[in-house]
Amino acid sequence: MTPFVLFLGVAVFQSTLLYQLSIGGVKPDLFLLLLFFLSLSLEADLASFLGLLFGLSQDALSGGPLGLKVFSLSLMGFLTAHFSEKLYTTAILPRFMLLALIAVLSGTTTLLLLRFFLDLDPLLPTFLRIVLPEALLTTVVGLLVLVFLKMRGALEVKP
Amino acid sequence: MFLRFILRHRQVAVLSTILLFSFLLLTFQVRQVVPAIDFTRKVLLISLSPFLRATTFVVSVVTSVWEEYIDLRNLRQENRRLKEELERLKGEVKTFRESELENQRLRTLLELKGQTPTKVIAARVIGKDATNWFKTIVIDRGSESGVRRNMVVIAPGGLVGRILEAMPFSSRAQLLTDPASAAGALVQRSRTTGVVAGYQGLTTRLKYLPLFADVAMGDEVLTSGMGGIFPKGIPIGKVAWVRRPTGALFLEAEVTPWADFSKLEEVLVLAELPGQETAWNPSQGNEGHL
Repeated sequence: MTPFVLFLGVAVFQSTLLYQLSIGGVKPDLFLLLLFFLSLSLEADLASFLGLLFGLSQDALSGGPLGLKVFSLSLMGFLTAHFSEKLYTTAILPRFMLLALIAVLSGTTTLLLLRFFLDLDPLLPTFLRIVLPEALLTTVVGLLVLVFLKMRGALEVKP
Repeated sequence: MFLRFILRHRQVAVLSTILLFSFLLLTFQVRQVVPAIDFTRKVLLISLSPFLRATTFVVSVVTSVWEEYIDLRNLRQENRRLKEELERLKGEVKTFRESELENQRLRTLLELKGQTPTKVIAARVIGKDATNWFKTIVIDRGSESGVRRNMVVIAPGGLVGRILEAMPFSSRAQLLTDPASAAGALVQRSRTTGVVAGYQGLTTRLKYLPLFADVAMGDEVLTSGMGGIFPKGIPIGKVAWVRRPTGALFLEAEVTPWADFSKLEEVLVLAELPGQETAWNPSQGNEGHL
């Protein structure tokens, strides 16, 4: 029940109020953030499937082609779940670094897919204008969530 | 044997299937509009749009309650100031009556010139694009209110974009700054034509200008009417800069849109235009989408 409510909240917040917090027209990717935190405690195949659902929703709420975020989010869900198995500590730093990596990878995957399928804006300027700021914002918001979870003692090592 | 292999590598198999599925989805959409994919997209958006509408409503209610509270605190001071202002305004009303009469006369002249008025549908913006890659908005009017795909969306400043898809009670509009958007454009001063296309979701670029075209900073840019979607003469924006890249075939110019797309709250959808009824046929031309 809680993940569904969180998902609904993220979907609505991402497409209504979040633009007011955007910097230079770029906002953090809350879908990716929620997927990241859920995938930390999931099996890789389940995390991929969750990425599929999140991606479909994000694509439906966007003007882009259906399947664009499905691809990147299911891949990121898989990678998060896979790498989280290697985290034998509840420290914030490794999770923060993993989130930063996932955020940059997610943006880069989307950029490459867009370039391949739609041949839109040039690679490097778009990477610097959208991918990096988005990854930075997502990671900063993620860090706040990590600190909050750590304070509540909710960061666990995967069994 | 194969089944055992799949079971052993279940996680990779699931991921590969999903990636293949999304890759195929993308491939089909690039080649043509697939009704099943379009339908799926609409179902997903329709199911989420009530929540978007509710959130926008709650936020506007909370904002107005807060503003009223602030207003109450300043009420006493404002009351005194308003009484003084009232006396001043009484004098101005006499002047405005004269202006109103003049305005009525001019409006009658304009009506004669325009012959048929354009029907518009007013809509409230209830959602923005969920990604940083595309620039679209969701409005609270859909096919039930007469909104159709490719209808033109404007704001008081000028052109906003076009309707990308119309659901029964909401629609998605593609902004001019969307990287996949394009509109035939005309430089008002020199009558040079080009194509205004979205660039990185922030601004727009005026493309396909001849190398020696007469375009300068500050020139006003309007829709040219070519392409069959956007009618001629809607303000797009002002030329911010012009560049002549060495070895290039065309001039490059950046156009700053009139309308501030990040602060859009209400828009108008042009429902019909005199003599351009066929312009709403989505199968026509490539203008509006690169």
